[in-house]
Amino acid sequence: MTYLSFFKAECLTLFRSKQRVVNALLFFVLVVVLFPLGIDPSADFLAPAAGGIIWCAAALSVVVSIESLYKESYADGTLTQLVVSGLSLPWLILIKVGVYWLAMMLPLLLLTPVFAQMLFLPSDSLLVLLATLLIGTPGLFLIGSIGAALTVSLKQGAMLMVLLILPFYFPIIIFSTAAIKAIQFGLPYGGLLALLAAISLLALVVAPVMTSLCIKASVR
Amino acid sequence: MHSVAILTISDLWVERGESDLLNGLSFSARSGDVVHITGANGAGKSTFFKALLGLLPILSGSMTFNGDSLTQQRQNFLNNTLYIGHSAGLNGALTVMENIRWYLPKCSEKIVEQALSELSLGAFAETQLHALSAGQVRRVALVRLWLSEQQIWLLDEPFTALDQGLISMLEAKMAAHVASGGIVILASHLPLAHLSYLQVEL
Ligand SMILES: Nc1ncnc2c1ncn2[C@@H]1O[C@H](COP(=O)(O)OP(=O)(O)OP(=O)(O)O)[C@@H](O)[C@H]1O
Ligand SMILES: [Mg+2]
Repeated sequence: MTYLSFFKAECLTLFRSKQRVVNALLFFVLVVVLFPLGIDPSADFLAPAAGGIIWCAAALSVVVSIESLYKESYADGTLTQLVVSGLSLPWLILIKVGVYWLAMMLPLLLLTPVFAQMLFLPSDSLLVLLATLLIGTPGLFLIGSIGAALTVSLKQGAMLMVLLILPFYFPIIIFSTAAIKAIQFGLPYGGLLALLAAISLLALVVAPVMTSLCIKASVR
Repeated sequence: MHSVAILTISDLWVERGESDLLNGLSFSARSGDVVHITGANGAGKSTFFKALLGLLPILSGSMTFNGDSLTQQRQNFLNNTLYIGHSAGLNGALTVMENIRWYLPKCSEKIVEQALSELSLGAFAETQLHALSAGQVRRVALVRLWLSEQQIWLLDEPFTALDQGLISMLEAKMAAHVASGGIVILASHLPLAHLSYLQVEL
């Protein structure tokens, strides 16, 4: 096994089981569409709320779908094979999470302008929204990966995992939506984006190592 | 040819749940050795493999690889080892060929196809793993075993789900592997018919 062959296998696996990604995206679409229907479809209400709605929908669809990130490989023994492959487990995890991030975020980023239009989000705010999604969501996936690894050996770990990782999502959601509000009020938002980037970078360093510790503890 | 021991296990104990297992297991393996680990269900055969691979901490005793402590040589040891456990370790969403490609990206197409047809998997190269029978999945794991270049084979119940013809074939492959300087450590409830081996009872 090499890093490259693992990357290819991951892409293929995800492509074969695209239902998982499609379901997560469908969930995202549903939340965004149902929100205005349920509360208030007027532009006055939606324009300031749009960023928050899209961010909450994105975070929710990540949290419900990433729970099963390691389930299959745990069940079929390939997770053990990764641990004993002699390759560095944190790097393999980073590849796995990276592939998943790409598969889910590319379509989501493409869908976002459409929904921003639907929710009356002004176009300068749309750019900031896209920037926060691009910078902030790696953090969501990386933190989610720790939770998924922590609960991989549990039969009904989904709820536990959501409760475990959701608090770590708060700062990401707060800073992202604050950046979108800032531009709507004409305030500087660069610092907020920098904070988001800092969180994602921290997660990039810490999460693969933490995830690999959790995986090593569960494949025994 | 009597070379030095590559792998030495002495007085090994591993804690698993409430009980201490392995009872001070000791043996050493030189290149060319087949070590056959036997024992009742739950005796600790799989536990031993996991301790060897570093998946479980050991309670006491020592393991050495090429003369150095195995814990320090872990990376080196893993690079020279191929482990096939109770589950075949193959990805159900990928086809037979893609699974082999994943584990052995450098292996030439021709050699892979030859090994597949040797194991009557020729027609299934493009079939997804979860559409194969249990025995066929084990066969795919064997293809991987045969084409790999690792010196040490760790096989936990390798005969599970194999038909009689394949059991003899696997034994022959193990014989060829050790004849070329490899080491095979296997746990099984079946006696080996065509091989001379060192038996270790747990
Ligand atoms: N995940 C686990 N957690 C706690 N205890 C375990 C676990 N797996 C196995 N054990 C215990 O460790 C003991 C040894 O198990 P092990 O799997 O090593 O047996 P084995 O010799 O491989 O048996 P078999 O022939 O059935 O494969 C058993 O008594 C079992 O109860
Ligand atoms: Mg066993």
